[in-house]
Amino acid sequence: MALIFFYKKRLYLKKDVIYKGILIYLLVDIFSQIIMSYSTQSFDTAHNLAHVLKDVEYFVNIVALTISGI
Amino acid sequence: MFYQYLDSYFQKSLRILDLFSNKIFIKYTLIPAIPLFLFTVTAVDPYLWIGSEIHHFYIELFAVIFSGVIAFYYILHARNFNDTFSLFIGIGFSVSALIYLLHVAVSYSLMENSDFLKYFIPQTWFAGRVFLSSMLLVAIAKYSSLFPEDLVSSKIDPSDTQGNKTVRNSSTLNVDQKKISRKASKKPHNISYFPGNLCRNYRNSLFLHSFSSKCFRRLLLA
Repeated sequence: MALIFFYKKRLYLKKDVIYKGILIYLLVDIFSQIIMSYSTQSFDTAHNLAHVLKDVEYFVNIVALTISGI
Repeated sequence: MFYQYLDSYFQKSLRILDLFSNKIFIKYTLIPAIPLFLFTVTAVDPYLWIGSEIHHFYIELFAVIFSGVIAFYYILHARNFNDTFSLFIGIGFSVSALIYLLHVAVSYSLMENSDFLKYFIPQTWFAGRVFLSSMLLVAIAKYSSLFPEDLVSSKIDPSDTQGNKTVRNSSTLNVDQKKISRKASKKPHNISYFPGNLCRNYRNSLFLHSFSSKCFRRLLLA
């Protein structure tokens, strides 16, 4: 929903890199939730992959903040 | 009446289809979605990568640290620019960092009790994700907007609803920076430069002052 609002409000037109970071964050977040929904028990593939993707999306956000100059 | 409704519906669906010709949509959404889709397909097999409690502990620890860093900088950004959008995101990240800290601490300390962890890990994961997602949704839906200055400075045709006719041939400041530069032109004041432009005004220098060392303080005041 946040991704839909992001495009609806045309925030992707903003030049600030933070918004690009948020855009990628939202996308990875959606996929990590989809992957987590496959998990049938703790520590299976989907569980681990979703956790790694969560780290990746946070890292993307940090990189975006750093490039933006904070 | 029916045809008018049908026509407006058709126009709306055409606008949605136009999104696929948007460069930013392709670059930042469609292309990253391909490897993510492949990850999703590989995750169907539950025995491909079996982890353990200790792996989970380390991955979550990284998430807590990253989330804390993001929260700190978003709140700092909100404080510097009086930006409610960043404040909401910062609070979302800080609360989710706390939830994940609980998630990490409890799952590490009760590593032997797998029956408890079976319920605790998904519940705290869900709590953190839902809170952060809802804060992001509120921030984006309510407290973000594309100001007209953005359209003028980047030479975007305001009548273009898809943003396909964007021509950026001038370097533009973002809206927040413009506000500050306007304020600076009205009332000149000393700006202390610091990595990340943290010290924009006296209030913020006081904020930093509270947790900086003496040496650091001298550097700021210099």
